[in-house]
Amino acid sequence: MNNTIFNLLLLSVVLIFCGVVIYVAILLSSIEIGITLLPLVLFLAITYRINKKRGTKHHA
Amino acid sequence: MMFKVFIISVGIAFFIQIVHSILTKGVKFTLGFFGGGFLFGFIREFIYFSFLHDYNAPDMPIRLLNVPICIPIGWIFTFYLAYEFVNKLIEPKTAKDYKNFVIFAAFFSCCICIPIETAAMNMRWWLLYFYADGRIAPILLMVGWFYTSVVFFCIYFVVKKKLPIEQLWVAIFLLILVFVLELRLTVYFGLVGSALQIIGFWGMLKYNKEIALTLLVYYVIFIGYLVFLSISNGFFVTIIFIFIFIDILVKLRLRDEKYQLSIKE
Repeated sequence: MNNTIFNLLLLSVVLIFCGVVIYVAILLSSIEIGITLLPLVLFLAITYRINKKRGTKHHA
Repeated sequence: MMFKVFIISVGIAFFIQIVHSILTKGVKFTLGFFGGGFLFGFIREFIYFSFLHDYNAPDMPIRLLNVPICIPIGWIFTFYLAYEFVNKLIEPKTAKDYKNFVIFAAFFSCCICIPIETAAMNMRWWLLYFYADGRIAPILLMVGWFYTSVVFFCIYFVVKKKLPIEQLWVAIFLLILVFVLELRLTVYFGLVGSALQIIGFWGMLKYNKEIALTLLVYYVIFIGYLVFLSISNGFFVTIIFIFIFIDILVKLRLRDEKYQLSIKE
């Protein structure tokens, strides 16, 4: 339970960061600025997947 | 108005990070990491604002020795996120893991760098004196964020005794390389600059091959950008990201195979 709250706290930091960038992208009507977030999203997706896989192995 | 939104958002995010750090790692860690990170970021920015003058942020409030306080805070913001996510990604245990940690954290910084620098450049939150064209942040900034993260995490893990003290040489040789590049020593002093560059690279190769080779790849891509100026900066930024993710996936795969082997043995 605690772990989930801590993860959500950390995720909210990333969401604020992404929110600022997306806001600028919308303000300037620039898709390019929005696309620059892709590497960060990909990095987080890899982290999530690896972490989940590790968790499953630990439980097994 | 928009700049205030940015400052307030960063302030809120920074506050959440401090709360997260205190709750998950305690006050001692928080003071050490955030205090050390701020000091490191401040010294870096003091050097850039006082001697190198590559960029400026005229609208940023609260300055200390001409350095806007928001910038070192921005560095801690990146370092803490990198620390947390890379910890989740590799769960380091050995010195080899911590060497990988330093590179992964630097890669993460590159992932943070491009969106925020691109947004800032387009909104004119801060001004880059060495780059005026294009809509995507320049490739050179990725090198800057990469080396800053490598130096910070090398020092941090040596202080925390997670990495052997020789790894400090990585930071020193890397800084030699950076100063040769920033002061354009190869342009002004020819052979002396080139010799310093070779010494810097040789030193890094001796103490941490992976960081040296990663920087070499960055350097080759950057040279490609200078040679083919007609191709957009965004293309070369994408090439670096492709390299980063291939490197991450290969390292994770190798690590996984070693882990499986150790279980079988």
